[in-house]
Amino acid sequence: MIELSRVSVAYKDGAVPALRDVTLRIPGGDFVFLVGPTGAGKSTLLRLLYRDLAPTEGRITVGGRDITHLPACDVPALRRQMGIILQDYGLLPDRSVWDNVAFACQVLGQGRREMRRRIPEALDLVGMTRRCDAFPHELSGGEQQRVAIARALVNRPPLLLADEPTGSLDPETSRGIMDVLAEANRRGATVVVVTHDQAVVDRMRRRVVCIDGGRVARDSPEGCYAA
Amino acid sequence: MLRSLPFLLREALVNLRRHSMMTIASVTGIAIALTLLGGFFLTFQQVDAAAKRTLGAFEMRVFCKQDTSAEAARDVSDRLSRLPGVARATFLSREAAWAEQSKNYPIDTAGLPNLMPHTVVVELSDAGRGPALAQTVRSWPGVDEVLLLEQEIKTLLRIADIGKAAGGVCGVVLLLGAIAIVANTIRLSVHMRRREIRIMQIVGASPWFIRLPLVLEGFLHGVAGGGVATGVLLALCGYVAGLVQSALPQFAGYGAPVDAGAVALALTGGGALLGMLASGLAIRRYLRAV
Repeated sequence: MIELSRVSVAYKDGAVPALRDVTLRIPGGDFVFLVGPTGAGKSTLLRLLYRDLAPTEGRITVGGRDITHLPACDVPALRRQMGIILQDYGLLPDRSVWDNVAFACQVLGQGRREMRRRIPEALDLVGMTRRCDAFPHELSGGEQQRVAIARALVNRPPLLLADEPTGSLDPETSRGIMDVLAEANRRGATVVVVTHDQAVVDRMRRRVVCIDGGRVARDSPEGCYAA
Repeated sequence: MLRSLPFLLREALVNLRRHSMMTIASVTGIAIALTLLGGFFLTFQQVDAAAKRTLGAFEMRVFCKQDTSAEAARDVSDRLSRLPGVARATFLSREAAWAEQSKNYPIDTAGLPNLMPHTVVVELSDAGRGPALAQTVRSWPGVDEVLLLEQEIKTLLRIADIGKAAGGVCGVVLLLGAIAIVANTIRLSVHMRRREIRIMQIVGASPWFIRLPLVLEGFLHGVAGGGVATGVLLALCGYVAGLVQSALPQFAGYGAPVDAGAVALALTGGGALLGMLASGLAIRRYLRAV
């Protein structure tokens, strides 16, 4: 599903490369935690996968497609094949919960009937059906993150990428969020989660890839946060 | 794209309400810029029309020699009427010319015999050509004298040329200023929504999907701004015309009539074009991909 082969990333203004010679393979249907200290390169790795960044060296394939030199015009199509969840939720502030989720459908040009079927399903999966008319500023952090996940899931993408999805949430809400991602994984989606949340990683017992100093320091199936 | 078109059109309309403060700011900015620009061009048009009217009031009089026959004098009149820069050439026989003199100067002409030669009164369509015309006609056989206020025409033409050049420079400066105001207002509006644009990109929206509603918004801002500017300008025109009519009635007929339809078309069309261009350019920097 995802393959990184000897990938390096150097930012223009950075003396130290953000990623160095990273080789990683994530099969379809896998659930992977990317952990490591701040500045280790976890988010950089994730951004490479949704082509928010291009590698300086190496090769990246997603779903069998080489995206190393993907032209800018093909980036939106790539992103429509994945659900992206950001730490700051990334909800459109002037739209209701329903409209935020619907936006991902509208981008694909889906008809109303299709949307009326898919959006309630996605909202139900994250437990936000009753709040579909609320606006982001009326929701708690956990609820906003659930809406962001519903938006990421609504088109049933084969790949879910989450950057610190529980970064600013309390332990119980974090557990709920991770349960939703685990359910998406159980339904067949490949899930890659960047996190600092030790409790979540330790509880889930999934594959853990530790990035440190821009390199893969550890890759353990059913691992824990610490070595 | 066609499937998404109704959604995108709806988005553009709904966004006007969602971002009502920015909409008001954009429309106001565009309206101010277009009112200034339109006001300048209308003033320029009125001054130009008044100058043309003043110059048009100059006429040239061609006096034939005393021994020139009425037939030959009519030939001179016909030749004159075919020359470029001549609106109309009217032949006045000696008798008609004397009758006109007697009417205009009854005391000076009382008791005198007819001293007037056959005369051609020439109305100029282009006063600028007057001096050259006079020079040409003076050399024609049968022509004794040509009367034209050449020096006055030259002075007026020079003033008009200076006015046009200064007006042109002011117009260009105002146009650039209007473009800058509109572009900055819309750029600010787009900048306020950079996060929204970023989120749309993350969700997989293509550049045209993001751009189209914003360009449509720019178009609607431009049309609304142009509409407001049209209303303000036409109201001002009416007010100024009323003032001139009451305070300076002798100048009332000097300006050109203001074509309200043309003003509305120019301002709303110009506003729409400016709005779309400014939006399209402002969004570009936020759509730059990796």
